Amino acid sequence: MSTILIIDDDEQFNLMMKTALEAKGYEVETASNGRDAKVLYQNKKYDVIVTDIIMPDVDGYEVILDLRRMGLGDRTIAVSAGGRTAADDYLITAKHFDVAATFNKPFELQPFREKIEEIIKSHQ
Amino acid sequence: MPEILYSSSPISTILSAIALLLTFLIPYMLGQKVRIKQFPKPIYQLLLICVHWNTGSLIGNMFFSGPNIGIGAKITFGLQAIAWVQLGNAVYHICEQNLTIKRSNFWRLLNAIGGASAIAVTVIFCIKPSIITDFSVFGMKPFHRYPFFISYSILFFLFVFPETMLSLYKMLRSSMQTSDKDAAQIRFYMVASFIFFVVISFFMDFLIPISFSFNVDGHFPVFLQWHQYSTVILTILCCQYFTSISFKNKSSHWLLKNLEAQLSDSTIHFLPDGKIVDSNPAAQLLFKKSESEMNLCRIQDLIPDIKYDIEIREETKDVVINDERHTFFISLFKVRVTLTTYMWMILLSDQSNSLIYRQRIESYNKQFADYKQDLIRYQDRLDSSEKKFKEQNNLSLALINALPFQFWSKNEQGVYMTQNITDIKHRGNQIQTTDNSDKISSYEKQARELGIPSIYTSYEDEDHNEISEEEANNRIHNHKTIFIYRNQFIPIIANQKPYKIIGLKQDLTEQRRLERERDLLREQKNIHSRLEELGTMCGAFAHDYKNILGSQIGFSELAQEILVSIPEDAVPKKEYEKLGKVNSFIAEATKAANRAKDSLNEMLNALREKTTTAPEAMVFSPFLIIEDVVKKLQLTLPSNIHISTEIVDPDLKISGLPAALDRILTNLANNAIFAMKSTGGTLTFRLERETLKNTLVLPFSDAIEKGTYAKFTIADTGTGMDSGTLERIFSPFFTTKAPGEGLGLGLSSALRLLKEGKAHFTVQTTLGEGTKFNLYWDIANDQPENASCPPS
Repeated sequence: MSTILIIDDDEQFNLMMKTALEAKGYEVETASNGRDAKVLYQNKKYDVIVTDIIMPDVDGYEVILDLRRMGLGDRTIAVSAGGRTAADDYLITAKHFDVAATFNKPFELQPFREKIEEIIKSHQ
Repeated sequence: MPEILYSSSPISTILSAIALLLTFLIPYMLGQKVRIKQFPKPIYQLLLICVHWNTGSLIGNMFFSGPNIGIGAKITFGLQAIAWVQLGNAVYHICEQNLTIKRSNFWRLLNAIGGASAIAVTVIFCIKPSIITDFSVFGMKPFHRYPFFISYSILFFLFVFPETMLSLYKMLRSSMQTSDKDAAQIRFYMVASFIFFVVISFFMDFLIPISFSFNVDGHFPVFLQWHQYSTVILTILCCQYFTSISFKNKSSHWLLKNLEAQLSDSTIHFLPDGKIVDSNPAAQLLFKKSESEMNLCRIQDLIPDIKYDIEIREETKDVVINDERHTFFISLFKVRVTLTTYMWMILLSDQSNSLIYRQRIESYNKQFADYKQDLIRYQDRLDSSEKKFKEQNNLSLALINALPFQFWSKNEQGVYMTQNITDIKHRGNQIQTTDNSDKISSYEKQARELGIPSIYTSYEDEDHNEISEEEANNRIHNHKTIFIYRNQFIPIIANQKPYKIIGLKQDLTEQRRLERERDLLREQKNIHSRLEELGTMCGAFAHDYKNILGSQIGFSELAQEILVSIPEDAVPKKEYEKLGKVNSFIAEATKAANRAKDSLNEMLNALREKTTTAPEAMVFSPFLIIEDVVKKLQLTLPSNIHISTEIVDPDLKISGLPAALDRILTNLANNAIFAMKSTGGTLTFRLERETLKNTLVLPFSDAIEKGTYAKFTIADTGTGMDSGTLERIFSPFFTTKAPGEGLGLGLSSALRLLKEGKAHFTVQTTLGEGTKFNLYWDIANDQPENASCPPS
């Protein structure tokens, strides 16, 4: 069974994504910031990692760059609700850091799930 | 013709009487002051001889005259002979004393022999004259005819004549040799008289009688008659001689005494036997004795080991007086008191006195030297003051000329006294002139007449005519040239009015222009930052809201998925229809949420549009922004960090958003300060014109086309960045800061703003050495200024 890590400081959105993916039969673990996440992904291999960008303490970019260093860039999906500039700005930067996909919050679940499935398949 | 011893002629008797009288009168003739005893011994002796001789003569004339020579006549004549035979001795004695020749006993002996011979001859004549008259030698009897004359003449020539001649010779020689003019004169006079009387007496008493064969006018000449009278005359002369010397001595003595009384040195007069005759007050003081007490002493009592046989001068001698030891310079002089007596005078100059004087002289000399030194010091001080004054003068001149504004001063009468170069450049040389009274402002008058300093701002048009503030504002509004000056009048307060004044005229034109520009920039920045704040606030809100909407939409979708997955036959139809309704409601909710999302995005877009486009780009002087940033940074700058803004070109102008530049510089500077937080260092701002001759390509930045740019440099000496960090400087939330030190929005937003300002940047960083950002901004100097600089 594929394992997915979701990192988002918004608990509700975090729960939503977890529910949506578990419904599809994935094993899902969650973290609310980059620091907690790091403990998880360093100790366990995940098939897909979904990370928000704007987070307290260690932000999404650090996570993305960390994962890239670990060779997990193509298993990473960045999501963002934007901030002081448009969400697209953040996601473009994330793309620049070679993430597999980006999603602008709020997004539809279907393409999100498809992307996850695609990533998992591509690594089988 | 027989001999006679005494003439019977009354003339002779009278002459003898007169001579005797004269002899007695001599002391009175010379003045009451001299008593007979005061005369020197030989003169006294001479006087006695005269008295004796003349008395004898008078008696002879009166009682024994005539050719009968009785025993009385013989005895009287003999007594006379005893008198005159001593004449030579007396004369010679006088001569001796006069010439201070030591008396020899030979003459005393000779005198005694003479006296004895006279007595012997007289006795022979009285007792047995035939011994003489019949005395024959070689058959001749020389005494036979004139026994008295010849025998007494022999006595005369044996005992009187030689000494008389010797005296004459000695006196003549001495008067020729003496250097004392007075003495020489008196002696000459004496000698001349002496010769005259000796010669005339000799002539009358011997030559004439002999040549006339002792028959002078029928009379036998009286033996030594002329000598008898001459002796009286000579005695008078001698007395006179003595008194003249003596009086002379007296006046000098008086003078000497007075001088001595004034002396601080001691003088004592004492007789050859040491008996003190006289002493001056200093001596009395020295020996602590009154004058009369002194006169009872002898010099040996006072100075025990004194020797006085020769004159001495300034001999040093130690003497103990009343148990006090004194060191004297002793001088000893012989002082002649009379013609024949002298005494000693001793002069004691206390060396301790002269020591005191010497010390006094030394102290005076020292004082003099001190005064001289003082004088030199004062002169030096004066010189140095003068020098200082000159230096001060030069300094103030240099200072006045270096002042960046016009400076002048006027004296109390309003005449220009000083002008600095700037003032002369502006208005020409006004020194020694006055302004027209209508041109003098009330402010200046106030300063000059009331002593109240004043400042006012004046405005001038392009021809330097003063204009009102209102007019000046109009001209600014219409972009016409004006000049703004700050005028200051400072009175130099003195005792009375009016006062001297100093005038300062400072050109504020450029300062005011910069102030206006700065105000404008600040205003722009405020607008921009308000919009930024609004954008940030809305962005944060949108972020949260999108998360909420995302959850809502997602959960709705999941709910719908579940609803759809329920098979139709799993529930009763009625229930299934209800589920269908629920599904459609959820779909509506999703639609609503999506509408909210769209509306939110619309709002954000509109806001973003406004944020980025609202402020117009403007041409401004970026150095003002640098100044502002530095000022802002200084408020919170750690003490180990120093900011350097040495190379900042104030003339460069760029086009863009002042607020954006402010943000960029602030962010870059904050990052730089953060990088130097622990080590400390220098943050350097630079602004300079740079021409790129080739396209500049550097890592981590876009290529920069060749051209001329305003180049900003922000460099630190901090830790530098590794390549990973460099990569991420684009990240909007890039941070290397620890939790709690704020969101690191800095660099990314700065760089975004850079792009909006059509600027480029390069970054160079070395780990451990520091980071340097260069911004290349298009220069806007060549564009017309008012094209993009709207009037305030």
